[in-house]
Amino acid sequence: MKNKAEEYSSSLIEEIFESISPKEENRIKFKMLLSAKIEDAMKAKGWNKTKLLEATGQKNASVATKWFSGTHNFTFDTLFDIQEALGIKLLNTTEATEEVVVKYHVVVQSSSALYKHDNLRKEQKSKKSHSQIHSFNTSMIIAEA
Amino acid sequence: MKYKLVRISKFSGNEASIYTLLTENEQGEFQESLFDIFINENKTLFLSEIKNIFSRLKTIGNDTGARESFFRTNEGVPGDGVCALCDSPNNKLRLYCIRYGTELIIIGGGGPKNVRALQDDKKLEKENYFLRWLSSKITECRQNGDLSFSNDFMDFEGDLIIENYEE
Repeated sequence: MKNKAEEYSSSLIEEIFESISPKEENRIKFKMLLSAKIEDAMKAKGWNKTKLLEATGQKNASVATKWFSGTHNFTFDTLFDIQEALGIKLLNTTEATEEVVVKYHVVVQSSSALYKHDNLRKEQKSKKSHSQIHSFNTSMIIAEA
Repeated sequence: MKYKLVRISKFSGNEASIYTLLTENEQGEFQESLFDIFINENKTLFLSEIKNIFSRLKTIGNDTGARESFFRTNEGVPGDGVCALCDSPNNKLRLYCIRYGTELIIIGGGGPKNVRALQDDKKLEKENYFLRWLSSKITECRQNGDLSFSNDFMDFEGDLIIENYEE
């Protein structure tokens, strides 16, 4: 049985951790995730740094290293150029909408079948037209489904 | 002097494990870690940079893994994995590490870098050369079967005591 490393922490590590605001932590995390997304997209396209720099109109070869370091403060223009070159979304100006899909099982009965529901029709005590009864009956079935 | 490899739970996650070394005191007990020493040495002057390093290590452990691009590589001899954690260009603090793929890093010590070559700063040189020694020692322990990686490469297994360091 091989020894596994023990889990370690210290009061000093805990103390520093507690002093970091969630906003600051997220800022750094977001920068790193953004860098990783750009690098992954570049690799997925089969590009190297030189090709990416060409496609974004950059001349300084070392700039790609900065982009991927997870520490770079990107300008809007740079992010726009990168997303256009790589065909990915780095800037989203549209409001996020949650798409809700509700599936109903709808059964539309034939008019002859409708007449079998005489009791139901009597309860309506109305002089609705044939088509009106049809739609009522359909909605009842939807509710049951 | 002996050292013990331990996994820092606060930083480690599903993407990478972050290790450091506990140092042996005069009574032969393992106490303060190299990372705690690094924090104590620098927290007065570089607290905000230390907080950045904390957040970066946590993100590496839990979200991104130890991507090569997040490190300044080739800080040691070819192939030894010694590197420094990248920080914002204006920041001075260097934290030296040994990187084993994207799954595992060992963090050692470091300090503010105000010189071009690390050999011009005795403190940085000492920290860097210690990790070079550690890397070669770990390679030796792996070769003789005392130490190995776990199946998922996220952990060390075996004899986690590293000894015989001489400055």
